[in-house]
Amino acid sequence: MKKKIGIIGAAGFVGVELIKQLHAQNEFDIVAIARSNGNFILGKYDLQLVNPKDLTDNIKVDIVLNLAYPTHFYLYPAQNREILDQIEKISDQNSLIIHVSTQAVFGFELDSKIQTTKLKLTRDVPYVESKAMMEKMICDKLNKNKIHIVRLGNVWGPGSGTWTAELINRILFAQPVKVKGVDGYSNVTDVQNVSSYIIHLMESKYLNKDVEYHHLSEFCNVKWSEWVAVVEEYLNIKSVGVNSNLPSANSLISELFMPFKSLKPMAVFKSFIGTRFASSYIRSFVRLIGYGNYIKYKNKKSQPLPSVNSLGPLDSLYLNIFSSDKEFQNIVKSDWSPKVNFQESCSNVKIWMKEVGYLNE
Amino acid sequence: MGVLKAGIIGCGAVTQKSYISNLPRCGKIVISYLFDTNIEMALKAAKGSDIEVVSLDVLKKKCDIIIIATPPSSHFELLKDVLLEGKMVICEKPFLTNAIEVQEVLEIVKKYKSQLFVAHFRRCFPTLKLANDLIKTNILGEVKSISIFEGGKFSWHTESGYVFNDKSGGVLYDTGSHSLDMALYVTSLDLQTISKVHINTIKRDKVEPSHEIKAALKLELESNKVVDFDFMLSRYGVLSNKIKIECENGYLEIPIDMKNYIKIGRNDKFTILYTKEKYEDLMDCFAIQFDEMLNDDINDKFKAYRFSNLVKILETVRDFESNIESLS
Repeated sequence: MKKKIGIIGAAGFVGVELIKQLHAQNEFDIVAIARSNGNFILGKYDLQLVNPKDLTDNIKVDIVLNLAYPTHFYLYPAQNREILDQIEKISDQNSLIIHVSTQAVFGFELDSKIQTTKLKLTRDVPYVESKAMMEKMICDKLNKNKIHIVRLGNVWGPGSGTWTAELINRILFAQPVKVKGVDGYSNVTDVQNVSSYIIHLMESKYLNKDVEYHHLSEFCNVKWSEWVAVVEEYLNIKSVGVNSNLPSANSLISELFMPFKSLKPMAVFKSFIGTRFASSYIRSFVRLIGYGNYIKYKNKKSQPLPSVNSLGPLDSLYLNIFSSDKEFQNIVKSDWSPKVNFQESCSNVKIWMKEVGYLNE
Repeated sequence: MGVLKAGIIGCGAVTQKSYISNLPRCGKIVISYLFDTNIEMALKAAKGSDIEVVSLDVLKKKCDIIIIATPPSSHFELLKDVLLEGKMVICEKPFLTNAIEVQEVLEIVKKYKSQLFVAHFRRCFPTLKLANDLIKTNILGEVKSISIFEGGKFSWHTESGYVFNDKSGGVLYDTGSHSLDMALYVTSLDLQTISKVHINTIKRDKVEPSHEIKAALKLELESNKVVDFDFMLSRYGVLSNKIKIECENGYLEIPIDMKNYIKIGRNDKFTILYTKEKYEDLMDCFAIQFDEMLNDDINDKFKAYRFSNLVKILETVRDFESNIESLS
């Protein structure tokens, strides 16, 4: 008898690739839990499609795979509880739980200590907090089940909006993708390999531990410059970079004090002399001492070049990641080997680029 | 001019997620009334605010601005009704589903001295102003061809579900009305008369409402000029999300997303042009559009007549019996 797998968030980027691979294997009965968009995104596959709001206790599966995650900046704890509720509805104590998480639980710039253990919750941006919280909720609530937590690196592949399309668009529109003198670890995992690894976990024997943690990032030591070079070649465009001095968000404490940095006496003074009242008196003073003398004094002072700050918060975030020296090491089951290698991964992206309008067909 | 009272007809997703919190940001309009045939939905939208849930007749009489935010197939009948009040009316996109309806509605606007605007908020994107200004200088010469790619995994949840069951609710109308309008606005093709839309090829994943469509068209202008007009739209996944406009002397590329830069080039050389105008949130542009509508005597970018060509293109493509095949 085939095992039954319930996939929560089945219509997402990883979900669709996974269902494609599962369908080709034909070894599992699939219950896909997805909102109304699942009707057309997954319509061509042989599976049972269920809307989360229609879930009942009647559907029980052997393996629960959670790919869903909250999208609301403020209400993510409630959304996490809804997802947990869905997991509980379709599972029993014998169900294997596979929860797909992210390397971002250690911070976007991997500024927390990376370890394959239970996390200590810290304050961070909503996405990071919500993903870390979900790991904890699953481990705490489903403590009688066998649980795999799979933390993914940066998911790359045809149609990956956050990494592939973003990198291509940045190069296409000459937005910076590198910082001079540094070349960060890409910590990439290909979407086909993600799906292949999840299937491998479904088929593998569970080790007798409380929770098994996996860090999937098979291209972790491929530097960003290598992906950039590939895209440059496909687009026939040279990418651009910035010199350095990126605002880093490494320390939460330094971020806390950032607003007070602008309260420098010189900044206050400069803002004061910019007023109509003060500048009028300054002009009178210049006339009094003689304009020529004022110019002589001014020319003696060495003026620094103005600083150009054309980078927005998103630019800075990407550039910090592209230049990060933190490696999210691949820690996976030793009997698994990736479905696609670097060259195959790049070729798949090239085919996709032709289909979606980046390259001429 | 004091603060204007607006009434919204239709309390689905766009009203709940966009109008309620962003319309008042322009500072000159306050939402006073809501109406929906589903009273529960209207009460849900009004919850926690001072907005009154009223009947359609009361809404029409009491407010200064009437906003129609219902599914597109209901716009025509509603517009015919509310435009008789001689007030300012804002219709949410997609505007109307055929060219005859547009003609009739524009005649009512003229007869009853109403003002009718269509809420295509992407027209406030900084890139579109920059690109439109550049095209107007004629430095690139005549527009020869336009290609549009827009796609992403569809996640917009509507209360009525029209995006899955109304033939004017597919990706063509839902996403395409946005991106095709961006191209028409930038090239000022919305101000010219398109005498005929010729179809070279159309492929889609299913009969309308489709979720993915690829079309190659030729737009024949009244001046006898012809512009190639190709597009691909998808709800299945990410596409390159850009508009390319080829002109006699070079090309422009515009990101579909709200950015502050465009690309201008010729052969294999290009440069990036930036505009100082920059917003962090899509909803900034959503709110700004209403301010611009109130000043639309000078800048008529949201007036209804400018969307006639868009309706004509969408209608022609929708009604063309094309091949059904999976594209991605």
